[in-house]
Amino acid sequence: MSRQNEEKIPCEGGRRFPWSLEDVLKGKEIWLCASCFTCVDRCPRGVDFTYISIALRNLAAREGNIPDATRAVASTVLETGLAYKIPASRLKMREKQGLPPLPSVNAEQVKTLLEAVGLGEILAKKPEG
Amino acid sequence: MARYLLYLGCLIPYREISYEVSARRIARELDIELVDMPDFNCCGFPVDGVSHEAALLLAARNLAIAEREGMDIMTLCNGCFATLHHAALEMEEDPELRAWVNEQLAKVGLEFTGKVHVKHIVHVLLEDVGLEKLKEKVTNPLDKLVVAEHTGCHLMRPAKVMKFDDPDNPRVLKELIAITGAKCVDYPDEGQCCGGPILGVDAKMALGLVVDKLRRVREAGAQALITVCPDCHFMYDFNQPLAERQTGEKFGIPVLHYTQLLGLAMGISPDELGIGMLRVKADKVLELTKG
Repeated sequence: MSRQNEEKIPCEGGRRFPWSLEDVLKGKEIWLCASCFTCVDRCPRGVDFTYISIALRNLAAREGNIPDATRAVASTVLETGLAYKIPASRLKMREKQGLPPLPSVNAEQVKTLLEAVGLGEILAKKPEG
Repeated sequence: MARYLLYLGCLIPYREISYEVSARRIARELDIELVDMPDFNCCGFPVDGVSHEAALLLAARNLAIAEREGMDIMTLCNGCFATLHHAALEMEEDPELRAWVNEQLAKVGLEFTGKVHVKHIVHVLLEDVGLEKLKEKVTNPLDKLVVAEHTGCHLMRPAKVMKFDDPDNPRVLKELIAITGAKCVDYPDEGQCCGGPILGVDAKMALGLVVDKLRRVREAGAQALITVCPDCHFMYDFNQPLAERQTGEKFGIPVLHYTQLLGLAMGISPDELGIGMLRVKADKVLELTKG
């Protein structure tokens, strides 16, 4: 299939074939995969597409293509060790409900691990243009 | 007596406290001893798309802490369960990867050797407590109540890895619901994803999945939807008003954690099960389940 193909087929994402690898890595489509693994269960050839989708998202992330919400959550993990900053009101509610206090996370330790794989650098990279 | 480290993850303390309240309450009744897991971090799922290596290290740190504590893990969340389980398998199958992970963990004084098992509360209810003992504990059968189930993807898929239930025709949660006396109705596409992981990427698309589900549940005649995952619950309960706004339809379908449903059937008061913390009010359900 060549880029010059006159006969273009719209796909579900509203884009047109053929895509270049650049289109894939710059687009939003790969981030619409919820990792539900239905395609892995369905595929008669055992392609395990969800894992390929995760790999593509990892590559896109290295090019700065990360949805804002995903970037925000990943940054919170890097900073605090947890995906969300738990508001004081929620901690109060725990107490009121008779729940034990939330265990504290050694955030420095988590950061050491995540920095070893360059998560901070990946998150700092903004998309071109 | 079953004894587990309770791995809470992030979404439960952030938005789904009612799940924790009800899970701890029924655990007490069922002789499941829950020890709070110290120093846990995010399971890794939310960063998997950004860096699988980072997700793997987050999961591995949790597994290594559990090893140090010398106890198996119980999660309440499908996503946390799947991520920890996947990570353990990945490291078991790939000795080089495991060696690399342990090199990293050594920097913070931890080690993964693969000693610890990870279970979801559904596994614990089935395997450690058992259906027979659960039946014995039901003192307030909910036989006026009609519900639908949503098991959630990450407990069942991919089937070849999770080896649990049938993702296209889930049975396990139906069996657990049957024990409570409630009737569980079938509806099309029970295995469809809640859309939780893409809510932040495309809210319209994610809420569209919620609308799909709630329509089918309503058409099947269910008075409530039952979940076993905080993210699925967050989508169907907390975000139900947003889904209603998007579609212009009113659903008003209460969404209960299975632990709440079971608790009601065990005669535990709604207050002790965090029922009042649900966003979609469950007054009608309580009316029908009064002992």
